[in-house]
Amino acid sequence: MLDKFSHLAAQRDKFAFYIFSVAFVVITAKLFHLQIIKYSYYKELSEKNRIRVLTVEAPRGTIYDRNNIPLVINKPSFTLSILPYEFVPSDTIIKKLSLLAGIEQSKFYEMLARGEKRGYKPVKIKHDIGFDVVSKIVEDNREYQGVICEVEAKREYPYGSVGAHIIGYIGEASVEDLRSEMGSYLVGGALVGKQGVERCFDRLLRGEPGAKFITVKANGEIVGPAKERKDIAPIKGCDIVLTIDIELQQYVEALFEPISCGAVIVMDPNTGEILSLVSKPSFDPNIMTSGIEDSVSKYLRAHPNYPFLNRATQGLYSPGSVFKIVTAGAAVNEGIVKDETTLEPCKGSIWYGDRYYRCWLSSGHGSVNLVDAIAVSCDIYFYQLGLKLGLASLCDYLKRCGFGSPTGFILKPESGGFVPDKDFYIKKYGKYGWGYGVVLNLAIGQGELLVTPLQVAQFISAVANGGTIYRPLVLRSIIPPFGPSRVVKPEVVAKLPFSEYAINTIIKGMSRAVNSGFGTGSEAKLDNIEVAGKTGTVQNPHGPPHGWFVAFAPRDNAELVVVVLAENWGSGSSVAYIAREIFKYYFEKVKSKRV
Amino acid sequence: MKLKEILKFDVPLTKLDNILLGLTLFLGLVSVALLFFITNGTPYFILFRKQVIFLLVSIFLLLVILRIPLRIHYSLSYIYLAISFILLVLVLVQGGEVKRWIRLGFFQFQPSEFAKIAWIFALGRFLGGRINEINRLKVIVVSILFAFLLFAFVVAEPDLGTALMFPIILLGMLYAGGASYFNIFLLLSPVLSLITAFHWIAWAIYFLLFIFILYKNSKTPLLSWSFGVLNFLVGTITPFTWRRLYDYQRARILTFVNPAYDPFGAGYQLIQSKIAIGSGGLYGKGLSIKNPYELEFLPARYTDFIFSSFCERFGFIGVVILIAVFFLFLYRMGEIIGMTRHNFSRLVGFGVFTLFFSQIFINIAMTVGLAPITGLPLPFITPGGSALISYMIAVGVLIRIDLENAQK
Repeated sequence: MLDKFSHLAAQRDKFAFYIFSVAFVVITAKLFHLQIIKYSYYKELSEKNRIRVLTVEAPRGTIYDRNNIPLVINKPSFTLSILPYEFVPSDTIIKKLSLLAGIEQSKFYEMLARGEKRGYKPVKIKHDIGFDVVSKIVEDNREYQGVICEVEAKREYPYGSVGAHIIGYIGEASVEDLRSEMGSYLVGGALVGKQGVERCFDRLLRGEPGAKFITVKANGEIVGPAKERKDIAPIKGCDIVLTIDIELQQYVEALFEPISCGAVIVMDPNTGEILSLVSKPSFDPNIMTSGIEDSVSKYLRAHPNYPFLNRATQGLYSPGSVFKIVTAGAAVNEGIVKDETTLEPCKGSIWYGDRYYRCWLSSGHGSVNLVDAIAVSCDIYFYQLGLKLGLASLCDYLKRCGFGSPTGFILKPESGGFVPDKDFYIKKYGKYGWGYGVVLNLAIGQGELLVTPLQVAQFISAVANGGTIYRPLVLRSIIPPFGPSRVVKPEVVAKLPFSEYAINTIIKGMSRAVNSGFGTGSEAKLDNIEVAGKTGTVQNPHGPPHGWFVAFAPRDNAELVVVVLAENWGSGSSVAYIAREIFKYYFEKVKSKRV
Repeated sequence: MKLKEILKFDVPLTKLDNILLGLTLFLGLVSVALLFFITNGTPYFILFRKQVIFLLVSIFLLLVILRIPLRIHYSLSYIYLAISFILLVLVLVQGGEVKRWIRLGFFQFQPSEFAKIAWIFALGRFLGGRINEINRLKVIVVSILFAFLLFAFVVAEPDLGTALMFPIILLGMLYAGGASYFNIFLLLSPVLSLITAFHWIAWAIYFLLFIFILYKNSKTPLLSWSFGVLNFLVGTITPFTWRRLYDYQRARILTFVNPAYDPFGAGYQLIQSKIAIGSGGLYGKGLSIKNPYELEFLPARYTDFIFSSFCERFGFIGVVILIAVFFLFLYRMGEIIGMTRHNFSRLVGFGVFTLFFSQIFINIAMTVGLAPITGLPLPFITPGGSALISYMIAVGVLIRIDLENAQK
């Protein structure tokens, strides 16, 4: 040990002693201040008054359509809550309160028990109580000690069931919600987004609650704001602007009214923005917001066909003849055929291996080239293309076109669809249990292949814009309460695996399907704008077939893609008129004011 | 050397430091008595019963530690630290929201408490052997790196209060080891940069001042300039990141750094704590008062905030006595450290002193509203087995240092 160091060490020890002495003096002085100087103040607080801490709910962010029309409204309402540290539970009080609030006594106890773990936070018992209940509780506040009526915004959806699958609704947090990743910020009894934007952007929409401190006399009478601590202002939630055009959405839903189950997607092919998305049957979010968990099951019992299922993003369907676009694109891309190439003429059916494969037109289409085969949707032509392509190649094209996996759409959950490949068939039928029959079926979009309307819309948009696959977009911007808003940019996912020539050939066929007069999509023809489209009809053993119609317009520099799917409605030709009306409405009414 | 030989008590009991031992036992008894009175008749009475058992166990351990020569700790110190790291990782890999304990059948313990002691030993060896190079880049960087690792593991539990003890102990031991004030300032500078970064003028003034001090004092250019870069990065990235965050994310960070921000948790607790302390007055309310109903909601009333219960019952007179005991306890430690002539012992002693002093000060300061609420227990008084045992070990080491001082 160096002497130099021991000298330094002694110096350091001395200084440390000063620091620690000062610290003790400061603490003692503070205690003197609290216990001697302010003694009477704190004594009174501890004996007579208590400080009550209340939540101040943050206003939930608004959801706007693309033209800044609000799709939700916050309306003030009252919530019956219990302050766990003031409330003295007794059977008579709980009985009275459950009667007042109209909930079961057992549920009341359950909620109370849930709240005890949370310290000072008021326990929400019932949302949206009537004003008569509020006045009773406020009047008899001596009897109902520790019972308060909190002001909380109630969500109203002015457009009702229009766009309900996109907007969603809010309800009381369920046990599953509390266990999900949302559980980190939720407490039992809180309102939380249950579907659509309300759920997927719940964290952004809800903001951060503030707190209010008030002094209350022992008998429950409020003295005033507590001096002990400053209130904390709530932080408003972010506003969210969607790509949806609510007027167009309304129009489309009215148009789709006769069809009981199905989906419509209207998309901008140049950005992937969804202008409207319809899923039927729909539901009225205003009924769901009362906050009672079992209202959902009640609603489901009264409304069949799963109204909460978003058929556009979750519904799995066989694409039918719509899929011939993919087969055609793949075949041209591989150099198997050109636009004018004819194959074996269609006689209504064709013999392969051990059986006949039929065309939907039993009288046959005769000799057709590729473009006409798309226009008239000739099955025989596409059987032959499928055989020439082979299963592996076709599956590969399918996957590269975006089928078989989710599009990455932001509103979850989303289905990924299913692309049956070689491995699947081997697993299902054994190594030699299947032949090229599966390729034939696949080539015309029948068989095990499953797609969602959203995947189809994404694919048709890519065809319409010349080959760029965009991620479907429903979010336009997020506006935080302070600071700049965040604008969501279109996102390119991939390129279609088709050459420019292949895409042009497809488009030629789709245009002829609508405009030639003999095509399957003639119902979609417009006088002033060239529409390109493709029908699809999916045979359904339980009733009338499902009808698909996909289209875009104008043919060159497409501005709008429409995908229509009607369950149990009829052939694809019979829904083509819906696309026509949407185009008409869009080019007459929407386009001029579009932002 | 045989174990028996090592553990043979080589110093007569009469030479034990009775002051430190007596004060320690007094604090242990205060804890047990206080817990008995405040938890009697509540579901938290289990805390009292556990504390009695832990007190007995920890006194026994203290008596064992007394017999272990410091050179044994010296040679094992890096192994202690390695074991601590393994245990801290084991804590983290288990599931659950809050991960602080390792469960071994019938009992569980908190590795972060023992990691503090291991950290003191390891640092004592590392710095003690390099006392003349303590201002060197290598020494400082290595010790910072380890302090940061320990901090990161414990803060992930999450336990910010305990995690902060690792850098605090490092600061204390560097100070004791004679690190220059300039280097200690350098160590603190990123924190200053972080705090001032929320206002650009404040940060600009701070940063100019920092550069000036750097320019005036720097003897180790590499160390200085790397800290310069670090300060600059912290100062520029912080506001940028902060602005990118959504409001709710900011609120979460604020609550984490300062739980008093959360009005329904620590924030409300602080009000209740002040009312309890203030209403105690000069003489206190006595032992027999019953808790008002609302206070039973507060588990922290029996743990991190136990000091306010003490103040409420024993009043200012009682508090002054308790604080005097703490003062004497620390003062006696300081005396022992002052007489120590061996680098390792001196640094370990100072580490233990830093540990106790900062925990006592931070806990009391947060209870009375002088410091942010970080969730640090009050040594000896706050119930907790792992903590009590680790304190007793630390006290045992200090008494051992005193014994070895007397031997020479």
